[in-house]
Amino acid sequence: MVDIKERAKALNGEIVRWRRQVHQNPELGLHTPMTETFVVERLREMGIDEIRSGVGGHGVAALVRGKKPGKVLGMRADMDALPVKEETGLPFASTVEGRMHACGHDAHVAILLGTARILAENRNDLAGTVKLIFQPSEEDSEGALAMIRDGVLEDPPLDAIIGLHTGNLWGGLRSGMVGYRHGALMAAADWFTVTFEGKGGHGATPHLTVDPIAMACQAFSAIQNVVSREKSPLAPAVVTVGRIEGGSAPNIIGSTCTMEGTIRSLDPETRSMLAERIKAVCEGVALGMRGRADVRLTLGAPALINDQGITEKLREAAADIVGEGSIAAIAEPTMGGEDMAFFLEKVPGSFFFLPSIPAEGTVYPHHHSKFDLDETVFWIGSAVMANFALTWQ
Amino acid sequence: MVGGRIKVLAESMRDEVTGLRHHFHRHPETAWGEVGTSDKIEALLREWGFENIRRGFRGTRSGVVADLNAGGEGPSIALRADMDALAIKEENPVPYASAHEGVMHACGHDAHMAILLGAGKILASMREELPGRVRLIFQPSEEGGSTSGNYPGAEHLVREGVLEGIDAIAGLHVWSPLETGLVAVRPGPMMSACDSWTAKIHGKGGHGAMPQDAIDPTLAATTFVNLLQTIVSREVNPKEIVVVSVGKFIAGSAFNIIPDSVEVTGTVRTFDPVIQANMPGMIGRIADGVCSALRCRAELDYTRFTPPTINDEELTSRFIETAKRTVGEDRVQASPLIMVSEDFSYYQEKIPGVFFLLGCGNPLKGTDNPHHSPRFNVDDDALPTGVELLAAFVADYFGARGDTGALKR
Repeated sequence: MVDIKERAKALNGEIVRWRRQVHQNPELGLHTPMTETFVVERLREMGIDEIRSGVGGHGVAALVRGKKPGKVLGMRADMDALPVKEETGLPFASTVEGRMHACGHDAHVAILLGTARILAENRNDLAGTVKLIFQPSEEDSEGALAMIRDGVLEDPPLDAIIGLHTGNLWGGLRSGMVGYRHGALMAAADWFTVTFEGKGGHGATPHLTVDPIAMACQAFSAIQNVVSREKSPLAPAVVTVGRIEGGSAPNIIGSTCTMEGTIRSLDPETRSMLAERIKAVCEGVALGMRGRADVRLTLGAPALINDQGITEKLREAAADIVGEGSIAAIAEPTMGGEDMAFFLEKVPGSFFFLPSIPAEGTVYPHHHSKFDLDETVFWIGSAVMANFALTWQ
Repeated sequence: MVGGRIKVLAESMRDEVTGLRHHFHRHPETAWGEVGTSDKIEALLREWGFENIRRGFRGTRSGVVADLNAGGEGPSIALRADMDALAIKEENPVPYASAHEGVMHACGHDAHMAILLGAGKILASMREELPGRVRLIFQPSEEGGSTSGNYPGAEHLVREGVLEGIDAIAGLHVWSPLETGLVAVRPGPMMSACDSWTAKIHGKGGHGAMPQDAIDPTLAATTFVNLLQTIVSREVNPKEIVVVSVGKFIAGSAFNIIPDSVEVTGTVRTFDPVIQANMPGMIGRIADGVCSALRCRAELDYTRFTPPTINDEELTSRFIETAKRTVGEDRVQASPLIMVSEDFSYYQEKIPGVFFLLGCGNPLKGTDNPHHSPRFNVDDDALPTGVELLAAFVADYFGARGDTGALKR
């Protein structure tokens, strides 16, 4: 069997070129036709011709069949960029004003293409089938669902699925390492919009009005109690009200006030309890203050839960590539969300972290206009996934 | 009798005063831009022989102040009218509707100027009989104080010395909720103080999923708004009339981002100057306390716009006598406390003053729409009453002081 590590290292220049091409042409949400075409062309060049494009809109699912019998493994990369104006000054910066790959999905696409290349070259040693899944709209949590609805998990059905996220999501890990976690890795991310309705009027005659800003402030306080008093202290969860907007002038009481927030949780019971209680608290507070509250809840991705057995296999496959010393268990889940969780709800699998941290002084958070990656470690992602595909059964 | 003569003169000027109001109504100008309005007023006052004409305040060409009997030794009284219009698009189908798109006399200041000119003309015609000085104050920017971050006109005129040598002051507001011809006034507090404030609460922004790395200013700001309610419910005497309102609350930009800071804006209304003076301290203490408890920092920007309008007891009882004799006993009412403000109060902080309401509401003429409405208008039948009230009050003021025998009673 070929040395996967050396082959992947040799491919890094190619992976970087792919990443830069995707980076220059960012696309948003479900509408990723150029990236879709790019992926399909690269796969064909590698001799991968069982390709289904247009899955769930502009997703791609491609099969690499091994010469040996075995199970079906899915590998997923997300393809969408963000509505951010790029300010990196990089020579391969976005060519589309107001759009940027500021979360590393450009690298995810390139790394999975690298894996595809290695696997296509090693069909003789591959048992079963690998289904490569290139997914649009991770940021809006729409792409995974759209592809599932369009049958990406069928024909052939998946036995397991893996994927990765690069960047600097988890602190304490350096470039060159691989992070993994058993169980919960990322939170369910739901959001809510509450419109408090009162009765507008003059600020000098409060008794003739029903003040919606007062309702929002009381409801905000009451929501803190849901987290501190009603939720089990053993179940991690966050409720953040990120936005409140009411009124137009100091002396006018408006008729409505809007409040928006997010709910992050790691288990389904806490998730549904928080949603129900926030709705009830907002409605109850509004009613108690002579107004009413219209609460709209939008369900995002569920919590991302890694399968124990597959995660252990993945850890082993990664250790082969970077060495035991560079493997790190991620200490705690992030409350950020990731729509890979929709796949992992249906199919056991594991989502892992490839730290890719540029030189000191140029590290910016994900979604920042100056966000960048350390390109020298991309091959590690390709090698770990390829090695897993060759060893997991 | 002087009173009877004034009534006849006021009635005889009905068309002239109505014409003046319609002229001002057709050519409205907003706060500190009342230049054409001032030109017109200055020309008339010169024609009628007013002296000591001062033109323009706060470095503008807006505002006119002029005297009768400028050199006189006796008592002195000022009458005041405000001049500014509002940024409102007029919807009245009248021939004298605003010729300036988007600007409108929607609060009756056009009537105030016409009435004061009418009274001034009458007083000018009888100046030899008046034992003291009469000053007319045409003041810009009454609305400016509370609406646009402009400067209250009265505050500036007082600072620029328009009350020097003046013992007392009177003014009026036409009032559409009150039937035409009725007069409403009360001794002591009548219209509320009006202040505005903005509290900026600083925390530390971050991702909504990682509250431990942020300091949430929205938490402090909502708690601050909740505790503000206790000023009225727990802190001030329940017998006092106090309103603390939050009109605007702006926090954050997205559901999942904790903002760096939050801005809360509100107003305060009270009839008590002491409570008004203490209010920045009370609001500031709550903001600082909440912020200190929740790891934030508060900046309070408090602007005192208008003091309460407080009518001098003695002057007001004099005015009530004049009003009862002029419009009839049953047409003079005790005014309720009014929760809007009037910068006439800046004059009353310095000298005794009386401010009264003159009814101009007539449902048959459609002049009962609320002030500041695009369909607000004044019943012109109220104008001669206003002219007579002001002129008669000046005559009575001098007569009642008994300083000279010059008035032929």
